[in-house]
Parts: sequence; structure tokens; C-alpha cells
Amino acid sequence: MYILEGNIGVGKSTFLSLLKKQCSDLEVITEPVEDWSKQTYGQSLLANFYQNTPRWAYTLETLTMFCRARDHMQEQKTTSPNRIFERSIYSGHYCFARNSYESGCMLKLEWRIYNQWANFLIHQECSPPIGFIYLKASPEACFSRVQKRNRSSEAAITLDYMKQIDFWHDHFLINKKEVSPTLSNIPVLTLDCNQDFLNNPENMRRHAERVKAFLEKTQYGQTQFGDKTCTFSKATSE
Amino acid sequence: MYFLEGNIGVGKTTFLSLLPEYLPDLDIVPEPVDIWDRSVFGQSLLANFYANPNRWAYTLETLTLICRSQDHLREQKKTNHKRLLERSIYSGHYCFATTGFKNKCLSEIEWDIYNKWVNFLIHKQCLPPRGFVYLKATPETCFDRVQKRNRPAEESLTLKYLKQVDIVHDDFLVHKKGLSKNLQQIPTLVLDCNEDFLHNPKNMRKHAEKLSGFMQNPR
Repeated sequence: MYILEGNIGVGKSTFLSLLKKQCSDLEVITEPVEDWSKQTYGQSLLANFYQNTPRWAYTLETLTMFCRARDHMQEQKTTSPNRIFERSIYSGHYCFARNSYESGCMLKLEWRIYNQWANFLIHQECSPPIGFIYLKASPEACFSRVQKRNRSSEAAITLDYMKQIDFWHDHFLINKKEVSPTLSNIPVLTLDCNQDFLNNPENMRRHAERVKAFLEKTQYGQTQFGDKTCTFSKATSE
Repeated sequence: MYFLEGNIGVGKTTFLSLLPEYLPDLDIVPEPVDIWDRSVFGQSLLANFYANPNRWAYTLETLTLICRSQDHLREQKKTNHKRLLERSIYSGHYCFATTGFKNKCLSEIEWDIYNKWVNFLIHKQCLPPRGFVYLKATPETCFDRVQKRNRPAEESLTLKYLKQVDIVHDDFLVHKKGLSKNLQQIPTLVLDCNEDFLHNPKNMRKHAEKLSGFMQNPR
């Protein structure tokens, strides 16, 4: 499996819907946001979170981690490699939760506990993808796209927050700092998305070509990544 | 594997420390209580919880759940049955988290998220034990022992809370109320621990003999 990453507003959903049209044999799986932003309790949790972030950050981060881990573990059982997931347990961890902690929304105590879960789920139970596809645009470009799409749950997002999330994405996918060793070997395809690709088919075509080439290249050498199956029963020993 | 259960203060730790003398073959895995009672950056989560349960119940329950699940998943792979683990994901869930929700320390949202973890971990990944060993004493006796041991985190513990925890232990281990089918069939050995067994080797020997018999023939 492959994972599509990128800042809020960079155009991940748009990208996946256009990519699907150009590569029909590719399966795309969109981010399961419904669990924490569409359901009634998810709505109230998000509302709680925006009202009193230090009180609710740990709760929200454990919920999102749960949803992502469950989906990841479900999907890693499927053997077909040509599937692209929007966002992942990794960006949830390395970008969003980390930022939440660094900006003071989680106590050190809570961060410790959160990491106990993360170590168990992410590093023991989840097998890494074949590759990451990173849609990259400046925080300013992302911010202006967020403002245009005008989603109600995103009303409180600031440019400053987008800059932080941008920083952590680069930290994770480009500089590969403080990333677990099993992940730092995973190849990353970075696509410059500063230019619009929705209304500019030529840009989108180029992106799609690069994705196809990336898929071929990474799968051709797939044996070097070894056995990717990872089950609960064998992954828990220390 | 077997689980040792019982109210706060009933004497689980003492019981486990005395047991090797009588049952030297038994492997003992103590509850990792120091993880939640260890002072992390100046805070013990357990002490936080007793002092302000509304704020800390979800955090504590998710921490204990992850620790217990990891232990459980590790231990269930071992083939030697003669192992006794102190507390379990089951008492963590059926006794402590459930009480937290009843007392409204966990909000609906928190309870819902907590249960997602439970269904995922307990019901899908964890195999039931061969049996439960239930150390039972009156809440008053337990409360008395808690006060004697004087653990700092337990300062704000009340008799009322111990009474609640006692009831849910009975529901879980004796009446088997609301348990999943595969858990209902697991046998429980109840040991009456109202009498002191620390200073009374005769009592302790009787407990150990019953336990030994239970492990040989649990049904």
C-alpha cells in the first residue's frame, strides 16, 4: 500500500479523485474523517477540543489514532499493492499529535501515555507502506485553499497552525528526523503542488505520470522490503 | 494463565509475595501499578485520578488498558499454564472503567472512545484465561488495610468507592453479569480473605492449597 500525505488544504481529496480517473487500476481510500468529525459525538468532541484544547487534546488524539490504526491493520491484510490511502497513522502521529504536544496542548504526562499507545500500535502492529506520496505546497497556498473551500470544521484554523503542520510534514517526510528506522527507509515521492492541478490538466497529468513511475520503481524492487505481513499474534514480543 | 482479582487493599500483592513459598513452580506477574502510580514529571496519574476523577478517568483507563493488553498479549503466547497475573484487562474494564462511567467520571464521548479500544483489544485480540482467582474481603476490611499501608496516591480513596468496586467484582466474578459468553464459562475460585493471612501462615497455606487444587482441576 501507498500513503498520500500533505498539509490541510493542499488538495489531497481533489488529487485522489483526479488520479483515479487517470489510473483506473489504482484503488484510492480516502481519510476516514467521519469517525471524529461527522458523527454526533465526534462533532461534540471537536467542539470540546476547540473550546478547551488542553483538556481534550489527549482524548481527540487517542480517538484519531484508534481510527487510523484500526483501518491500517485492516488494510495491511490486503495483498494488492496498488492502493493509495489518504493520510495515515504516521502523519497522525508525527505531524498532528506531535504538534499538539509541542504547542503545549498535551501535558508531558499525557504525551507519555499517548506514546505508550503509539509504540504499541504504530511500531509493533502496523507494517509500513511501500511508499509515501507527499503533496507539498507553501502554508500560504494551503491556507488560501482552506479559506476557499470553507468547511465549517476548519473555521478556526490559522495560518500559523498551517505553518506548524507544514514544518512537521517536512520533518517527517523529507528530513526524516525522529522517525522510527523502519519508516526512514520507506521511499517518498514529493510532488510540488503550489500550482493548481484541478483546473490545469497538464499539471495533473504530470503528477499522475510521476506517481505511476514511483509505483513501478518501488514495486520492482519490492523484495528488498521483505515480508510486510505483520499480525497481532507475532508482533507483541519485545 | 490465571488472573488474580480483588478489591483495592484486599492483599493481592502480599498474597503474591507469599505464594512462591507454597507453590514454587508458579510464575507470577504482578500488576504494573508503578506505571500509573509512578511520578511522571511530578504527577502520578493515579493520584490525579483520585483527586479529580472527572478530569483524569479517561486518561487513566486508557493507560491501564494499554498496559494490561500488552501484558496479556505477551503472556497468552506462553504455553506454561501455571502463571498467575495480578489483575486483568477484564477487571480493568468490568470493574474500574464501568464504575468510572457509572459515577459519570467518564463522559458519554469518553466512554464511547474507550469502548472502541476495548472492542478492538479485548474482544478481538485477547484470549480468556483458564480461571480467575478472586480474593474477597468486606469493603470495610479492605479500607482498613488501605489506610494501614498508607500509599500516597490512595489518600483520597473513600470507603464508598471501595463498596462500589466490591459490588462490581461480585457482578463480574461471582454473578458473571453482563459478561461476554466466552468469559461466562471461565471458572472462578473465591478465597475468603477477611482473616489476615500475612501473619497467619495457616490461612495462607489453606489458600495456597485451594489454589493448587483449582489449577489442577479448575472445573
